[in-house]
Amino acid sequence: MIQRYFLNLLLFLFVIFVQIYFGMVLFLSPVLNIALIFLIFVLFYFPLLYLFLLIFLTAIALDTLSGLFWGMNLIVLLISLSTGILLTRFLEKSHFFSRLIIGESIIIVYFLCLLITNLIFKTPYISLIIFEQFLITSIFYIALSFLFNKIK
Amino acid sequence: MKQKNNFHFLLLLVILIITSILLFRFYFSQEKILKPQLVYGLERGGLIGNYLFNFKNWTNDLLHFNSLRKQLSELQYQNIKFINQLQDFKETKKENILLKDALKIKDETGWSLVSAKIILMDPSGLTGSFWINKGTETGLKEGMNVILEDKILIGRLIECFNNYCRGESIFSPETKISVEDLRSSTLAIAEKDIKGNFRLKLVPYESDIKIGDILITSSENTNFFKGLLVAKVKKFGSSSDVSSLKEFILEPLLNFSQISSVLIITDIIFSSP
Repeated sequence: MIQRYFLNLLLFLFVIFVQIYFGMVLFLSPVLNIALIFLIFVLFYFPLLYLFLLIFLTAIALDTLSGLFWGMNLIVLLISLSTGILLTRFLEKSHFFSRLIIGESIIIVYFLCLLITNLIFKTPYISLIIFEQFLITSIFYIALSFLFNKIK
Repeated sequence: MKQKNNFHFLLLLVILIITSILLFRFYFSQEKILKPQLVYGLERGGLIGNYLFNFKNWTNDLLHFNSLRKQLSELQYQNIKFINQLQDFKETKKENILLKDALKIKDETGWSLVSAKIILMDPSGLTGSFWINKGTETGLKEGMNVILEDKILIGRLIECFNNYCRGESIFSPETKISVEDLRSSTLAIAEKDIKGNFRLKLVPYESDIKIGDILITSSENTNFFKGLLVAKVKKFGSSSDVSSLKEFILEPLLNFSQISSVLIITDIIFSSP
């Protein structure tokens, strides 16, 4: 049991590390959000308190290196994954397709929150980049879900 | 059974809400501590990170193979052009040295510079911020300009800790730079458009700006020094509003994938936003 958490935590640290170094850009450009995808899978397979710990750690990393203000990523991650928790509770019937929809809904809410935050802070030209990021992340999540399903 | 499950869920929800409130309180009060500590940790583990970054650049080059080939041929053409120009400049240089000696002009810049290394950049692609490995202990302060060796403007510092500083590049949202055309001395504003391109705006219709002209920061800037290289005029862009003004699309001179060391001008501290 503890081994499972330990391995997951190691994998999480690796994912965050890859997100930080592989995603490093200075030109504003679409970047794949693998940290969010990892958190979605954690939501499906691990308890909520553990998920919250990972959200907290992800937010520290993202708020330090990006974000319009301190705490922005924490709020956006909490809103999107809380939506996921509610959807899992009320919609999921332990079926692959519903998990796909829930995961996609989390991604949509996450990028919608990012979009709204950026619109509030008067940076409308980022909208296109956020939309591109949303597309890349969605496609990657779908591909990964199908791969997991095949392996299972 | 179902009611019991619902009760458990509600209980868990209440616990989560309370935890979230506590988490928020803790999180928002720890900004000044968490930020430098994370940067320190990432800097220490940066060896594997550098490999990842280099691998990313390699894959990026592979995906843009055709454009690189095109750029190479353009550079070869420019190189020949520059060799020819060099001959002309040699004559000008001789003349300059003569004039300088005659008038006893001192060297112009005289800026105090501190070198630093860029250790981290924005992983979200939305803010264009970066971290350097020098901080207030080396005399760095918010608002200082960050440049490259060849005077290309990178951005400015917006947040400083003991050993690290966070900078904001010229690609950050809502960056507006007052620029001057090096050839014709025309003044204009360089800013991002809705697609994220750098645009040269407020250019008078009768102004003499040509494709390939180099733009430098002008003295009108409140955040940047005068004379720093910003961008090259790439192509003509149609103006959306007033017809008496022209617009151009710019190509920034800053190529960040190949940058690791930067220089910080420590002379004048500009006001932070």
